[in-house]
Parts: sequence; C-alpha cells; structure tokens
Amino acid sequence: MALPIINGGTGGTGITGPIPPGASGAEFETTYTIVAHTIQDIERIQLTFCDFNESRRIRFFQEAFNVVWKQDTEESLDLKSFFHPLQDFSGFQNQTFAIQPLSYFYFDPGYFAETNDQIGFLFARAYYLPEAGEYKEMYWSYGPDGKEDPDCQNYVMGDFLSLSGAIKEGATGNAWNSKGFYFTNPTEYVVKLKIITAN
Amino acid sequence: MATAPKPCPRDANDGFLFDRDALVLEEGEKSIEMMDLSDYFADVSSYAKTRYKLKGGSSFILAQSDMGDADGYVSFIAFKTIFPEGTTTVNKYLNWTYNSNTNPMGEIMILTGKRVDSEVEDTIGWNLSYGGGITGGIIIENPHTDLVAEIEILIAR
Repeated sequence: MALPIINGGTGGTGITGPIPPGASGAEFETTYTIVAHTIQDIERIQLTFCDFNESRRIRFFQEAFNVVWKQDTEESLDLKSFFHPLQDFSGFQNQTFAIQPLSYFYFDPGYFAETNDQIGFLFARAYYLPEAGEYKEMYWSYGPDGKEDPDCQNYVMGDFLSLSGAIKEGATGNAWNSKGFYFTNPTEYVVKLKIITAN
Repeated sequence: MATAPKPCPRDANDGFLFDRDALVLEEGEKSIEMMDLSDYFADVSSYAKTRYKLKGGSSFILAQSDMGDADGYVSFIAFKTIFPEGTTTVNKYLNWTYNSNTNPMGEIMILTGKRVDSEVEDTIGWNLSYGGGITGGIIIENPHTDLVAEIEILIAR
C-alpha cells in the first residue's frame, strides 16, 4: 500500500535529497518525511465501540445522523455546519435512475467543464423494493481517469453515498472525475438511485 | 455545435446544505428540497463515534479489532471534516486511502453498505479490521502542512 510521504529527510523510499533540475532547467527543492515505514506504524485512533442486545437505529433529523434507541438520541453526527457553495462557475445535476436487476450504468456526467469535469460534491441515495429483503446493496465503481480507467475501483453502497472534494476553476483540483463513475445493481430487483452532483 | 452555458453570477450564500430532515439547495431567496432524508433508517447492532484533530502533514488509520463484524466489516461510516476558518475552497480536502486507492475527501463523506460475499469475486465491503497483519482500515491523511483539520466520525455495523 502506498504510504503518504510528506516533508523532509531521506531513506526508506530510496529518494535522497532534493531532486535535480530536469530538462526544462527549472530548479526546485523537494523534501520528504517518512511518516511511517509500515502501515503498522501509522497512528491508529481508538474508538469505544458500544455493543447492545437490542439494535439501535440510525436516522436523519435536525441536520444530523442520529443513533436512537426508543425515545433517546444516544449519539449524533451534526451536519448543520456543512455547506457546499455554488460559485459563479458552478453547476449541479439532480438525476434519478431505475437500475434494472443485474445491470449497470454510467450516470450522465453532465457539464462540469469549468472544473475539468471534476465535481466537488456527490450525494446519492438508493431506494430498494421491500421484496429485496436483506439484499439492499449496490456497487459503485470509480475510475479517476474516466470510465475506461483500467485501475477502476469497486466499492459497495447501501442506502447512501456521499463524496466531496476541492474543485478548482479552470484546472484539475482534488476532487472527483464526473466521467469516472458507474453503478451496478447486483440484485434481482429494480433499484431507484437518486444522485445529486455539483462542482 | 451548442455553446457552453453562460455561468450566472451567484449569491455568496447559494449552495447545498442540510435543513431539518433534508438536503436542500439555497439559491437566492429560494430553498429547494433536493432530497428528503426523513424516511431513512438503518438498524445497527453497535456503533462508535470519535473526534480527532489531524495536524498538518500527518495521518491516522481507522482500524480496530472490535470495530466490525467477525471479519472487521462495518456497514456505515460517516465523516465530517471541519477546516479552519479562512481555509480557501481549493484547500478544503484531505486524502483517504482504502484498498490501496487514494481519493480526496472534503467536508463530508458517507460510505455505506454491508459486506457482500461473492463466489466469483473478492468479498466487497468496508473492512476496518486490525491485528495479526492488517487487512483493512481507512487511512486519512492531511496533505496540508499549515492547517489542522478536525474530523468527526460515526461508524456502525
């Protein structure tokens, strides 16, 4: 697994000192810091996991994902402060699809040319038929270089998928390629998928 | 060939946000409900929440031996990132790595889905197992050296 490497030092990766100037004659100084030699060295955050005899329910209300049990809200992830601004160059799309059983589709990437086809916000919700029972899963796939990307990544999706990043007007930022997504319905029932995207 | 649409000047307050039980779009004086979330629910057997200040240039891994099911899979992970006031839009991102793939993460990320075992493909899901040779986990990296990001995470299975 590639480890994040930032700022200062030598060794480990085989990179030593500043990189000499290339053919352009440009000079720059790059320093690296090894943050971890192995994945075991990366700081691991500790969570206290609560296990219960009776299941809890996650619901969305009052701008938060809340973990509730009977009348009590036991925990909340407050999203009141979340805001994705629409700038002068921004656009957005709101699409709804009915994905047939055992099929996939590339969602319409729309027009996000001002940010090099990148989107900074995606919010998708899947609606499953009651007949689906426990089979309420889809796959989402993403190719950073577009839908023909040989390094396409595959992930599971239940009810929600929300992704975000930092778009940049007129350039490629640190965001998501709108042309790189496709969704697969592996179940035997139609799934409705609503997707909102914006740059 | 059609020309590109002309961008319209935007109000500084135009954008997406959550209002009560919905994701809404505010445009000028209008507030348009884009997605009603009031009917959403998911039953979970366990959960955990944490808050973490990620210093500039540092990383952490979200992985724990008792976090998921017997094989370390969880079905709900929600991240909220708070960047310092004054952080420009182009710098409001972190990086996350899962299964050797690195992607950006802005102020929100929600990953859901139970593990899916397939006879023809590898098991797919969100594996946060740890221990005895790590097989899962999500690495969160702050690539900015000059800002501290505060992250809240809610995980459930």
